[in-house]
Amino acid sequence: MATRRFVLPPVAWFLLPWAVVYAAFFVFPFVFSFALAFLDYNPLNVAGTRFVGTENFARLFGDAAFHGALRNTVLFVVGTVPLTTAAALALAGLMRGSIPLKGAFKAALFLPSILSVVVISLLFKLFYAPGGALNEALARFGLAGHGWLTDPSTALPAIMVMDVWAAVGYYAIVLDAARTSIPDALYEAAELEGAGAWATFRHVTFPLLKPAIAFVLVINTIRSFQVFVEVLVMTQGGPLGSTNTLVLYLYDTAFRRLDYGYASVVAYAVFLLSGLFSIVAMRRFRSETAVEGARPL
Amino acid sequence: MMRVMRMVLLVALVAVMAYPLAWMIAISLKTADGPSLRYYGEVWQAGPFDRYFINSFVVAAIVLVGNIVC
Repeated sequence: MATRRFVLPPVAWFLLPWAVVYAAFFVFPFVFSFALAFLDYNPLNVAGTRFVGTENFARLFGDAAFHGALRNTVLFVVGTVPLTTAAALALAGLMRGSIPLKGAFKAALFLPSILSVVVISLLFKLFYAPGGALNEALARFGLAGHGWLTDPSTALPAIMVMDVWAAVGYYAIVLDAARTSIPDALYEAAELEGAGAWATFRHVTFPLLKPAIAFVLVINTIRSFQVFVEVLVMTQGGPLGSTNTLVLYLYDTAFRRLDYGYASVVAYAVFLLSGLFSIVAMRRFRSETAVEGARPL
Repeated sequence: MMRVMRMVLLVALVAVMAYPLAWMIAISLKTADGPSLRYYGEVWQAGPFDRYFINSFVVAAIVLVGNIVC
C-alpha cells in the first residue's frame, strides 16, 4: 500500500501563526483555569495541590466579600452604561449637520480617550481629594466640602462619574460616525412631513442607529464589568469594601492570597455575567432594518 | 436659533469635559514660587523616565504593527 503524505493546504500555513498564538494565550488559559476551578492550587506550593471537587463553587454562594463585589460591579454597570450611552447619543445629536468648530468639539470630546486610565484615575483622585479642585469649586459657591473617596456612600458614585466623563466622548464619536451614514433624504422627508426635533430623533435617527447603539452598549458593558484599574489606583476597593469590584476581588484572591482555584471560579463568574448582560443588550437593540451595522474597531 | 442653542450647549458640555484636564495642566505649572515649567524638566531627572518612554513606545509600535498585519 502506497503511503500518502498528509499535506497542509497552503491557506493553513498563513493561519498557523495566529492559531498558535490563539491556542497558547487564549484556549490554553481558558481550559487550564477551568481545571483550576476544581483544585486547591497555590503556585508557591504546587506539591500541596488537592482536588476539591465543587467546593470552590460552593464557597462563592457564602462569600460576603464576593457578594459585595458583585453588587458594586452590577451597580457600576447599571449606573454608567445607560447614562454614557444616552449622553453620547445626545452629544452626537448636538453635532448633527454643519456647525462651526465641529472638529474642535470632537477633539475636545475625544481627549480623555487618549489618556491612560491610570493617569485619569490619579487625576480624579487629586480632584476628589479633601483639598482638591472639586471641594475648592464647591467652597467658592459656599458649599461644604466632602471626602468623596473616603465616604463609603460616595466613593463608588464618584468613580462612576469619572467613568462616564472618560468614556462618553469616545462613544459620542462612534455614534456620530454611524449617524453620518444615515441618508440626508430621510431627514429631508421628515422635515417635509413636519416632524419636530424629537419626532425626527425618535423615528429616523434612533431606529437607524440601533446597530451602532447595540455595539456601544455591548462594548461598554463588557468594559464596565471589568472595571479594575480605576478602583486599584483610587481606593483599592475601600473604604469598607464599598468600591470592591469583581475583577479587583479576583486579583486579590489570585495574586495576593494566591488562591488560584477559587480565583478561577470568580473569573468564570465574571465571564458568564458580562456575556449574559451583553446578550441581553444585543437582543434588545437588534436592528429592525437592513442598514449595515457598525463594526467593531 | 436652534443652531445657537446647540452651540451654547456644546460649549458648556465641552467646558465640563475639559475642566479636569485644564486643572491637571494648571497644577503641573504650580510651584512653591509661582508658575513655572520647572517640573517638565525635573521629571526627566526623577527616574529613568527616558527608559520608560522607550519601553512604552516599543510596546505600542509592536502592538500596532502586529494588529494591522496579523
